[in-house]
Amino acid sequence: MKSSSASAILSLFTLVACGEGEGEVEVRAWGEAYVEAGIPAEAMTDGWTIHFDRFEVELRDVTIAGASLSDPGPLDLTEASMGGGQLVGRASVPAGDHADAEFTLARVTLEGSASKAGVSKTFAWEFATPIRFFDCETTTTVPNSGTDEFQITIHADHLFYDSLVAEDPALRFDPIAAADTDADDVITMAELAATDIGAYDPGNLPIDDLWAFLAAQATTMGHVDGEGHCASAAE
Amino acid sequence: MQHIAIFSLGMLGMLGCAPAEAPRVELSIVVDGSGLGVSTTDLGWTIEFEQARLAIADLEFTTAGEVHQARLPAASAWLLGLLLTTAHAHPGHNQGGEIIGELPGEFVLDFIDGSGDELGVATLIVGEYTAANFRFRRASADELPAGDPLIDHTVILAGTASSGDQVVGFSIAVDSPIDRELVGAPFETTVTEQSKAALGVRLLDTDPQEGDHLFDGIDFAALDAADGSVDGMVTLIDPELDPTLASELVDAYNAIRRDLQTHDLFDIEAQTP
Repeated sequence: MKSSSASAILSLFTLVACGEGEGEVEVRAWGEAYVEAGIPAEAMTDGWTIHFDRFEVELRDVTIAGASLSDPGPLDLTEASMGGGQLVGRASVPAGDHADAEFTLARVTLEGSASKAGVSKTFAWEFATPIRFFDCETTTTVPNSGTDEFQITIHADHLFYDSLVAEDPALRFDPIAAADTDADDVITMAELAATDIGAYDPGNLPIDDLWAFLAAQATTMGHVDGEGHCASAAE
Repeated sequence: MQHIAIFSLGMLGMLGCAPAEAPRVELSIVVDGSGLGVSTTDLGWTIEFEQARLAIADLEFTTAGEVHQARLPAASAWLLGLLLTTAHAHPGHNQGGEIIGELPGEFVLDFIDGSGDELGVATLIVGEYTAANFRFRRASADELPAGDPLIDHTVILAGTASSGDQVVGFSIAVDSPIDRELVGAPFETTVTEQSKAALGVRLLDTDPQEGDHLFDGIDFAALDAADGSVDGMVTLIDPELDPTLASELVDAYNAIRRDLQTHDLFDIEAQTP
């Protein structure tokens, strides 16, 4: 994660105050290897392997360095990018350090499967509560006549966390697989909504069913430049 | 542990900002057992507690607003703001507030036999308080008598549930994840330089906002039958410690643990002298 420093802040004041040039910021969205290649069994506490066929995010109202980007339309983060992610947009901005990035994750639509010991379960879910991310823990340093990148990083593994509040939650799929009560190997939103969260920890939130738990986890997926956190609020 | 008050003010001093030092007071923190009385659940079970003990650590007291900006030069207030904790969207950070008081250390709270016991003396910056945080932990053998049922657990609840002619005893040992933080227990108090009253930590059998009882939805007679012997006693432990636990008992344990780990069932109240 990028970080600010006293010298960088002083540099910003100098550059901006003296009007020393302009550069470009490139905004990209990346779902990390977990979205492009899947979540391996080793990462899961209960040995399931997760594969995403589609992980489409709708981003809007992306702003950085005082510039507003055009909404990019749906981006499927499963498309291989060699770590670069998908292009959201570019903007010409004053050279210097910028820590004002904000964005809305308006919708996440995903399809995929989970496999373990010869059993495979599929899922197709949509999370449509727009979440605004702001006060992000990163600084984008745009050089004069150069380009720096600001990355919106989507942490797909949060969907499988067993706690909304633990600092180090476990990744589990067993409870979600068990929600397939009609045993057709398709885990639906309705089945999840009818299933108690069991040992999952919702913290202070009044959440009793697995669909509400997953929806709450979905609101935490937005990060910046890898592991940088942001404040967030439902729109 | 964030020794924010002392640390922040020390930093300001070192940087030569020379702020007016925010007034601090030291107040006794005690166990307050008044949140557990004879109560009734939604299924009509009358609950009487014989044991209610809890292992926690590191109490923090928070305010929702800015801290003493009026007393500090603008630059100092800005720095103080940087040093204080703020909330970020991530598991573990979904509640916020600025920490302006603390009582570090590990404690066992006995809400039945230990009501009034002092946990320690907290340092609090003068201000408007809104909430308190603490960490759940597991009690160790070093701090309790040998064989104490709380050893290696977070909470022990024991007592009776009665409904008509039925009386069912219960013993519940709850294990929270190590260092699981509870954030936002109500603590709505103004602390001034003249404040003297001790502050009491309460465990509540009923959520004062929603009216929900800790044991709502728990049918003690059904649990007594589900454990294989209708002996008038229900014992709940972490299912990871007993994989043979009947599903009804697992569900009850999970529901009770979930409620106990929310801020709905705890508060901090200034004690009447």
